[in-house]
Amino acid sequence: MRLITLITLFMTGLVGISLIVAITATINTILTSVYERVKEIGVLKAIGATNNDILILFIIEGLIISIFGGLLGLLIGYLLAVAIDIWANSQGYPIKAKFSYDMVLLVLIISIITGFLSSYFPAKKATEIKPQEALRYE
Amino acid sequence: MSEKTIIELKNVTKVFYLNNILPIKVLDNVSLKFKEGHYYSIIGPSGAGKSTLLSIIGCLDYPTSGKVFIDGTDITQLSDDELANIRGKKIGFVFQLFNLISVLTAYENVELPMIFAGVDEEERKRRVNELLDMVGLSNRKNHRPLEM
Repeated sequence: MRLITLITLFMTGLVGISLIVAITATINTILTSVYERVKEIGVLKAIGATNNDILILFIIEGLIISIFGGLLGLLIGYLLAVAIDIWANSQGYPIKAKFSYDMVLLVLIISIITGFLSSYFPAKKATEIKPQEALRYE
Repeated sequence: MSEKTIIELKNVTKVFYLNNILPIKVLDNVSLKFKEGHYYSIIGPSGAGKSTLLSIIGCLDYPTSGKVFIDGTDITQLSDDELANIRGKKIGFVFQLFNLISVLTAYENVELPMIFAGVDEEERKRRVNELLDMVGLSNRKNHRPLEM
């Protein structure tokens, strides 16, 4: 039993690290797309987009990325659980890999929170772009 | 014919700071009036401050000091969001380059400013089709900028 506790602890640690990596990667992705689209943001502002409109645009992008990532993770996790179960059975190990459905909800909630947190900062950056600077050298 | 003033600049000064220290006075006490229904050109050598002046008239930037009235409203007193609203509803920009959003179709590019201005869907649809018709692009509605 002690071994199982240890493994669970190890896995939880791994999940925590993955989450930090995921947040960093999402911040990076959104930040890159902000800098790639400085001119577009300038145009949007020139034609009447408010800072709030820009903020919402980028947060939605972050949410889409993170929810998609969460779903992808769930799919991989599910397939892995099935694969481990089949393998363990064929080898005769008394292991039962189960896919917990409560986890689906938890993962999606964490994805949404991660997506929001990690896109807020770059989105805020996007709203600070001044339209006249974005349009200066055409 | 009534000569209504639609844009008025009063003692507008714009100072930029080079490297945050060295002040450069781009506009020095500029006062101008623009009448409704007239066509104006602003000419001057490079670096004379034409773009800065247009940025300020176009509500893209605030002057360092002075007042700017657009249709009677002093824009120097407005917030960023209120300026965005004026840009969307009262000012049209013709950029040097097209500056179209490359992932959106011709239809969506025309529709975008109306979305920001809060025009309802029915009206947007009618207006976008009307505008595209006017410039003969109805058959290209669903083409993206690079496909035209």
